[in-house]
Amino acid sequence: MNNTAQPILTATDLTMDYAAQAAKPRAAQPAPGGPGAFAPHPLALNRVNFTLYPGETVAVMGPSGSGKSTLLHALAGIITPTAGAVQFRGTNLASMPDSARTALRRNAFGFVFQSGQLLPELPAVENIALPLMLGGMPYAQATSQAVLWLERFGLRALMNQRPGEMSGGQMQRVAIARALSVGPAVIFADEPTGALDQTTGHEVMRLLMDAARANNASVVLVTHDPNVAAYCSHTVQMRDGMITPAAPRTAAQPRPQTRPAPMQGGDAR
Amino acid sequence: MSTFALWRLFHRPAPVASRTGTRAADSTTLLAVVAFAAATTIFLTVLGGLHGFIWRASPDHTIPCLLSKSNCDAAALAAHNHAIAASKAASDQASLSSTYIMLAVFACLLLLVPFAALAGSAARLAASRRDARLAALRLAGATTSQVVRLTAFDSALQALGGALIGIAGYFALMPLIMLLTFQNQHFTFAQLWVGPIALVATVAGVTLLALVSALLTLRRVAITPLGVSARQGQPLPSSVRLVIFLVALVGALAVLSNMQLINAGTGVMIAIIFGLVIGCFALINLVGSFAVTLRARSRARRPKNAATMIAMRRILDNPKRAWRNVSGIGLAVFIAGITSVCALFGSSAGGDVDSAATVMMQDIGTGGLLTLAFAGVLAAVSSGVMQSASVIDQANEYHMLVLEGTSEATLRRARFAEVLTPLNTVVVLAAACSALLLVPLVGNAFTQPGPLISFVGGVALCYALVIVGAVAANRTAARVARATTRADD
Repeated sequence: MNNTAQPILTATDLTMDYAAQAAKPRAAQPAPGGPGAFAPHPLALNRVNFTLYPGETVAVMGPSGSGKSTLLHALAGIITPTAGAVQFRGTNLASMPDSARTALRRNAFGFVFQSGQLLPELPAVENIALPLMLGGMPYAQATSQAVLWLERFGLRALMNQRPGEMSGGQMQRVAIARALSVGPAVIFADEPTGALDQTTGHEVMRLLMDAARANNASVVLVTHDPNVAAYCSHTVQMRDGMITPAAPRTAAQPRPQTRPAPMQGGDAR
Repeated sequence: MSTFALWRLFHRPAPVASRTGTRAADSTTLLAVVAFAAATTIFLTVLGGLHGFIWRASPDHTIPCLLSKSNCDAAALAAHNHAIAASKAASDQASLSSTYIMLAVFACLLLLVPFAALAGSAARLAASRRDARLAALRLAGATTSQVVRLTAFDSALQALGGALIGIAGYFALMPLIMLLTFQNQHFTFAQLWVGPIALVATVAGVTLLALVSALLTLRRVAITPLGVSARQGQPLPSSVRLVIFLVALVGALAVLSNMQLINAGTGVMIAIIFGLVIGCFALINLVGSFAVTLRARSRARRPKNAATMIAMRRILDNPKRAWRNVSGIGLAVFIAGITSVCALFGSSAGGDVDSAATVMMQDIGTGGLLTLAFAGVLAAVSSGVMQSASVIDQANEYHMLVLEGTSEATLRRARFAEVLTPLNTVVVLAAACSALLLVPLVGNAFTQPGPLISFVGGVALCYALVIVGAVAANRTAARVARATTRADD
């Protein structure tokens, strides 16, 4: 990590209150049930600060409901926080019109979710070509580039297969190829190995991190699993919507660089 | 646990603060109820028209009297016979009254097809969106039969609600129908009023139809504790269909070329028209999904943008579904073709403008237009309902695409193209078929501006109705789909 470089993404005092957001459209009407929605309740994000540098890979860990995915969605401009600001390359996401934020997600960010992000009707090659075509690239050129990605990931044989005909690991590889196809500055990965077995999970993580490094993309990875988090250069812990101070690293806890320990068995969700 | 107890569990009023989650289910219920209401209103209105013609034809305005004079009220029969003897017009009209009834029955039969399609699509909508709930119920230990009964009960209740609203629609539409002139006279309330027994039978029939449709729909999906797996790969339609279609078309053309509809008697004419419409409809249904597949394949080969690519792949994923969405318009196109020709007969009948035969030809034109309007509305509502179910079913994948930066406008274009491509295919196919088959019967009448304008106008009207239905359904369903997701941890 190069700390002298300008951060690519910064979040300042991010606060997310879903109950307040849900009450907004009805704000004009008096709440018939009394204070209900505004009774004391936990915040999904509570004054969170976060910084991401170019090429940096950060894992966000924490128990269910701690606000990990909410943080990822706020950083990616998918949701607008109740308070605080997210800046991408110095521009406040909240000040951008929705269309500009959508274009930013399409062109500057890549996404890998746990499952279900590939369109089931499209063959692998068109699934990868889709974001390129959404950016205005003609079909022939977009599919040619998609084929190159499939070749790079050793998936050329799957070119005309639809997601229903692939294994979970193959689908995640195609999803990674799709995320990288636009040359993103940041890849947001939300439990990318959550639906995979240990061995496949490791393979997918290696592919994701190697490809991100080769393309100089930063990575924000949400996970429950410390062995998945170990692929990242930096880990932040979340609890009750807040980032908890990291325990100082000791010599007895070296960061795995090449081969992390086997992942936790079973489903951590 | 009884089915009713299970149903009540899912239909408790939600507290105000947590209503967002139930909005989707409420909206689909509303859509299904609207569909059933529209179907019931149109069915009762058409039935009212049929009743009106029976009322006019029967001396004492009852069906038994129409079937046999011996069942008639003596005084009413005497008055009727006296009126016929006194006026030539009344006598001519009485001789044609059975033809009017036959035509009204024909219109009812024609509308049965889009009516059944609409009821089926409403039932399918009732079954969709319940996937997650049904799977969760199975996981919690509910038996398959409990789950099936719950869904069937839900559908039947929606149909019952819709049918009751439909009765109100029937009464609301009645003043408009009373403005129409048939047999040189306006309909009266007594003529259009179908009676309480018919109302109860219609409500029961619609409910039963929904129940049967829901059970048939559920038979095709396997509800397991791990989810509802309805997504089986659909084989593409076989080209044998095309061969059968072409052979039947050439055969029909050969037979029809030796007939002249204008010179045929009324009974023969009606029989030919009936056979033509039903035959044509069956034929284009045979080849429809194949034609849609061909069109979508050709557009998917080099799609001009992402929206087209998504839409064409969605069509190819299940061409039968894509075809079903718009097939009602095929029938409407045939009705438009026949109506335009009938209107021509009416205007060219010449001679005595007040003669019963001339009036009947004009009435056939009016009745045809009315049937066309009803068929168009049924097709539009049906297509809208099916499109809503389809959009709601794919909500999850589209939500992911939005997260990844796909604009709502692109998704709207994709959903629109998904309806427009099969719609254009069915209109071209049905228009070509009806023109091909009508030309040998009516000679060059079809090339005259009057019928041509009437035909194109009728088709355009139905086309516009379906487009409006699809756009409205897309927007509503997309809003519903968005409302169900929360970017929570």
